Amino acid sequence: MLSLNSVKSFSQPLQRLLLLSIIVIVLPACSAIPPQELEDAPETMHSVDSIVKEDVEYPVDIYDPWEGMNRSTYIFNAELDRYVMLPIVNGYRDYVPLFLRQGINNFFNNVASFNHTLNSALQLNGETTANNGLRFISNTTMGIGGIFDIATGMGFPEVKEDFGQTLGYWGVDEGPYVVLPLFGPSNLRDTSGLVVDFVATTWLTDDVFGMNGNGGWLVFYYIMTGVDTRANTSFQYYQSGSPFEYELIRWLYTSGRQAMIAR
Amino acid sequence: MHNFIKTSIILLSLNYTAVFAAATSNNGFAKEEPLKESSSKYSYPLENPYAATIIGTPKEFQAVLPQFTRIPHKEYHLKILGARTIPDVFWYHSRGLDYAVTAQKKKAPLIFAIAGTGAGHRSAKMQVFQRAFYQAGYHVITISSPTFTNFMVNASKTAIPGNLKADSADLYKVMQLILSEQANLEVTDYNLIGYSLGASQAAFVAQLDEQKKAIGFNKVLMINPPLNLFHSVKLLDAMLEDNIPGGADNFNAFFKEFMANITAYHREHQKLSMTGPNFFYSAYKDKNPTDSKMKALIGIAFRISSSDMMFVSDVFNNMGYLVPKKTQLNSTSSLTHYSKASRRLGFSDYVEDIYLPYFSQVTGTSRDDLIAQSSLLSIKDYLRQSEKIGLMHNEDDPILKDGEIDTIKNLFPGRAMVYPYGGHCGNMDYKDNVAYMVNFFSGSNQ
Repeated sequence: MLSLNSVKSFSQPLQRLLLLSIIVIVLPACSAIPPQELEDAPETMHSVDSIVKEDVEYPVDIYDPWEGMNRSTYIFNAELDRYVMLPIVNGYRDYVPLFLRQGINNFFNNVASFNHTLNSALQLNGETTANNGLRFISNTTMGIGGIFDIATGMGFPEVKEDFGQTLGYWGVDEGPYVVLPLFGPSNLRDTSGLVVDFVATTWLTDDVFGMNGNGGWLVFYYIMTGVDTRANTSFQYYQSGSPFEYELIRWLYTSGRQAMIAR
Repeated sequence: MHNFIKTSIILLSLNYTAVFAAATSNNGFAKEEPLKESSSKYSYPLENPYAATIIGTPKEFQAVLPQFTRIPHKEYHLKILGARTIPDVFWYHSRGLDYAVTAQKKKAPLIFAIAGTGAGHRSAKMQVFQRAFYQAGYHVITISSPTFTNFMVNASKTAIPGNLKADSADLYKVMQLILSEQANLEVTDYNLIGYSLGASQAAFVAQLDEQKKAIGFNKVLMINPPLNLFHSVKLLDAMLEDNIPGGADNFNAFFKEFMANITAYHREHQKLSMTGPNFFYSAYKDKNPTDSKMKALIGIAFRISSSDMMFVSDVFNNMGYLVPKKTQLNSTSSLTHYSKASRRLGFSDYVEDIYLPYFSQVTGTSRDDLIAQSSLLSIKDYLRQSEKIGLMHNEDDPILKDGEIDTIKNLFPGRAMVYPYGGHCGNMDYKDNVAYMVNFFSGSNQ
């Protein structure tokens, strides 16, 4: 169904994004099941209602109107990770030598630096714009297309700024919490940010790196982005051991993003 | 797989860093067993026990070990209690007990590692064991704590953890099953290591092994065990309750202030990665947070682990403690309101409400006797005479009451290495500590 030819026709970034969203949205087959209510709830030693107070703010209370769907997606992601992502990443680690994996990681980080620069500028932050811009330029040139990270050693470390942060900087509310298939925790604002960052990256890869219209390269490029990201993320589903992992991640994602925006 | 998950994981990992989580010390005690390099001063950098517990060992002070991704690590899922049904809400754990094997390619000594309270077999501290002992030529098998969800639902007979004898019996059974599943590993001898609660359990496993003789441990190292589990639990509960201004109801305000401080610090140091290895160390050195704030963080991390454990025990056993009996929770049920409520109950509540009533009923043992059984003193004769067992601990471990460290030392005559600082397991991957750990098993500490 998804041949290289059909991908080739999706050369425009927005169309390609549409394709990606279809793949990503159609995949999860799980449906949201609401928590079962008991009619005559028997006595408990401690009742939730007697402990949880109306007038207390709980950090775990995060606006999550699509919780049922989000939980299903979370489970879908965990399964996808277990049966698809991790086996691929393990193979990648076993068969691709470290220096090559490092080079690939540097390359994708450098592509991301381009977006970090744009977003630092959009947030009117001179210092980080200069840092990220110089980082991108030096790694693209002296680092041979970003395969080597020489910028960190030169005093230009990676400072991540994405469009979700830019929106947050300009006061856009985070909106409802969303668990995106494959990508994981997000919210409405950051999801819009992902779309904008995707379009900007596509412009860079198509018009600057010249991958425009080359379907084979694009498929390879996206697969490698995913593999590289997963290989460099230590998170493992359900390894926190917490039965409240969904709540913990929702809380930590949200407060982590607030911190990234406020910094 | 968002990058910000990394930030989250740093915060989440406080979970493992802080909770239940040794000795070129120049104090008088170390003279019984001088280290080869005893002339050099112990220079673990964090002299504040709370900071050490939270931050661990700053990168430049860590032992040089192979990266985790560069050592063999194979995951297994052991089916133990075959007929047991695992509630749907714990669906992810229905594959069995997770454990990992880091195997040498040739015949080698084997070491079992037991994690601390609320920690899984892949926790950061367990990775230190894997990296250090793999490098030293051992097969390493890592097992989650009996207080960890995956262990509770798959391998704990009662799913009511906290009884050192019962939990250790579960662990011992697990180890035997693992050895039969891994029959092709070529092993010269068997060893055991554990940190925090895992250290206490290691002692009880070793004692059980003397009776059953199913494995035959050569050497056993206990790192930062509590003297009495329930005393330490009380201290940790109090760290949260006494140190959040205005009490636990103000947790949100406390947390927001904490995040605001981190953010402000980051604003001053734009180039320092928030998720980098030394962010918290650097912030600590510059900002000198009060002990009270740090105690609160340790208390919070401990509370997260212990309330998780309580909830799993409640649901698994259908106890009607917080979740009404027969409530059907499934994989997509919202647990948010249970999470809010369970965070307000401490480990001490679990001990009083669930643990003590259950075990006194089942075993006919009095409450006081049960509390006494959660102490290392309950096996003091065994510990005193067992040359194979060693101790690595810290003088300033904040999970111990005043004087308890001396009581512990006396249980290991000539076999205790107690470092002057390091807090609770904070110095485990400091270079001297790793060297001591490895030498303890290879026999070159003598």
